Parts: sequence; C-alpha cells; structure tokens
Amino acid sequence: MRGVSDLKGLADMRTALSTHLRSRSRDKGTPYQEVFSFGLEGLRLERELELVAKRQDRVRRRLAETRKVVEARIGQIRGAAPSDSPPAVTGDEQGPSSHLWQTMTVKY
Amino acid sequence: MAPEGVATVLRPSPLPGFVETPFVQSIVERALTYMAAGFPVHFRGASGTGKTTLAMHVASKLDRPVVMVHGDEEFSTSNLVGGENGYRTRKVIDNFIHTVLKTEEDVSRSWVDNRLTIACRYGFTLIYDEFTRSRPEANNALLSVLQERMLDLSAARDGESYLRVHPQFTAIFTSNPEEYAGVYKSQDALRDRLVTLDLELFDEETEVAITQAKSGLEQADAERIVRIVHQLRASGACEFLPTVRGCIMLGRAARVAGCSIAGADPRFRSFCLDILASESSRGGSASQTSRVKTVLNDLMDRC
Repeated sequence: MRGVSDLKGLADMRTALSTHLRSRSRDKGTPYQEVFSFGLEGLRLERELELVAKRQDRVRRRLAETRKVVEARIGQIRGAAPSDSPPAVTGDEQGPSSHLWQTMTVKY
Repeated sequence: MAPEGVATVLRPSPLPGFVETPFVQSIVERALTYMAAGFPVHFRGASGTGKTTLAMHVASKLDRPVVMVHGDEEFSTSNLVGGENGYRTRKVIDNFIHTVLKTEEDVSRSWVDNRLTIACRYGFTLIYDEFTRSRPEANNALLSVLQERMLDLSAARDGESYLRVHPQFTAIFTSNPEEYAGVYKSQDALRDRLVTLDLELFDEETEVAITQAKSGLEQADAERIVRIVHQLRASGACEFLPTVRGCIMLGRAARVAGCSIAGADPRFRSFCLDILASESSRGGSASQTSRVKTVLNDLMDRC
C-alpha cells in the first residue's frame, strides 16, 4: 500500500492512522487481537464473579440477621424466651444455597 | 459423584427395623434437650455401645443436613476449616502491535472450604465421630465455634476473616474411653464445652431387640444369644466385655448357616468360640483366650 488512494476497502483502513503506517495483515493480526480482547473480557468476568460472590455472602449474612430478629420478635410476642436464647434446632430450609451441595442418604 | 465444587451432605435415615426402646428414647430425648438449649452433645463410651448410631439418630431428629467428620491422627485444622488446594493461573499475551510483545502472568492458590466451615456457614449438623482419635490441637478451631459462635478463618482465604456461625449449627461428638489404643486425651477446654453422656452397654431388652432386628432371628433365639453374652460378661473372664456387635455377628452367622441356637449344635458352639473369645481380648494371648473358651464351653453345656 503506497497511499490512501491505494485502499481497496474499509478493512485496509482498520489501523492505518497515516500513510506511513499500515495495519498488520488480517490473517496474522486477528489471533493476537482476540487473545487481547478475550483476555480483557475474561478479567472483567472474573472480577464480576468475585463481586457476585461477595454480594451473595452479604445477602446471606443479612438474611440470617433478619431471621434472627424475626424469631426474637415472635418469641417476645408469644412471651417466650428472650432474643438471645439459642434457636430451635428443628425445622427448616435448605435455602437458596441448596444448589451448593448434594444430599446423600445414610441408613443406620 | 458430586460435580466439582459441590459439597456432599448426609441425610441420616433409620433402617426399617431400627430399635427404639425406652432406654434409647431416654438418651435421645436428653440429647435433643441439651442441643435445643444450645449445647453440643458428646457420646462417650466403649466400643459397641451405639455411639455413632445414636449420633446419627439424634441428627436425623434435627431434620437438618448432616456433615460427618471422622477423627484421625493425621488431622489438622485445615482438615476441618479448609485450606489452599490447587492453583489458578492467568496468562495474557499481548502482541497486538507486532513490534511489542507484552506478557502478563499471575498465579494464585485456590481456597477450598472444608466440612466445619460448610456446616458453620449453612447451619448444618456436624457429627464428629471418634474425635479423640485426632490430636487435641487439631480441634482448636472448634473452641471458638462452640463458645463464641465464630469461626476464625485463615488469612490466606480471600474475603472474610471470621465467619459468624449459623444459628442452626449444632454438633454431636463421639469418643472412646482414653485407655483405648489409638485414642488421644480429649482437650480439656473442648470437653468443658460439651455435654457428655456416658453410654454403658445396652440393657437386655434393647440388646435382644437389636439382635433380632439385625440378624432376623426369632425372639427366643435372640434372647438365647444375648443370655450367653450376658453370662460371659458376668463371669469376669473377659479382658474386654463382648458387646451387642458380638450378638449380631453370632445371630447372623447362625442364620446363614441355618444352625440351631443351642450348645448341642457343634456349628453354633464354634461360632461362639470364634466370635466371642476373640472379641474378649486385645492381644490374643493364649491363656486369656483359653480361659474365655473354658467359660464359653461351660455356658454352652448349660445352654
């Protein structure tokens, strides 16, 4: 390519900022560009995953706190044990995190 | 097989013939009361007193997923809490401008939570079977979990350094007496945090019911086996008292062989000598074994 007048299409202009620069040919340049751009996207997604995990922890902690308060208030309403008494051990949920484990039945 | 990163939790369920006599019910009710009051329970007793089965049964009554840990000499804190397991590598090669090559490489170790952390986080029931088979210092992490309801996590772990224990987390411990081989002394501070229930051998009614349920024999036959074992215990010839396991072994062997439960049957006599004589001594000393066999032969003659 000698000058702008020799361009055959838009693809030839991809990184040509001046007539003294020419872009690397498409065949050779594309894998490098993809490594870079996908690498960046991977980094972004990793960060996003970390944020989601942290947020999940925060929500779980807050959920436990709200449940504790609700139990305590119900206890007060019924005139039962004070709020810092140990919780009932029977009951309950597998919760939204149940997808994190699988259950195996053990016969005894 | 669990997919990678997914923990397996247990759901104990009694077998159809599970024996629940008043003796067993009384222990279970007391254990549940202590746990409802916020205290972990510790079943301590000789081999064959049903510690692990009772722990499972109590855990099943709580209706929460169960995480089970078996004590071992090789155990360390990381076996309970978690540790660094494997690596995660990231490499970026940037050669977008052909005259410039930029590489960036980064290696980090991955943290994997272990069973105690999982149980504390999600409020599962922890069964720590034979916990005195672990070295006492391996159980340090449990002290703050049981008292302050807080788990101290390693600094190597990303994110939180402390984990608040879920309100529904409960723990059941079992252990053998300290004089057993392969058993460490229990940590005093840990023992102080537990309500310990010392288990004796089952009463006769329970042993007959268990033998009958586990071997499939008639009640009269199960009673005969249990009577032989009780008389052997009372003879004082045994270094270690034969347990209900011996009764079950005898019952099953007799059922498989199709022999009668009587001293007159040479096969039943052989089973008794094999199973009960070996169960009653640790070292297998000839004099001890022959003493037990003499007592057993006398019992068989009267059976």
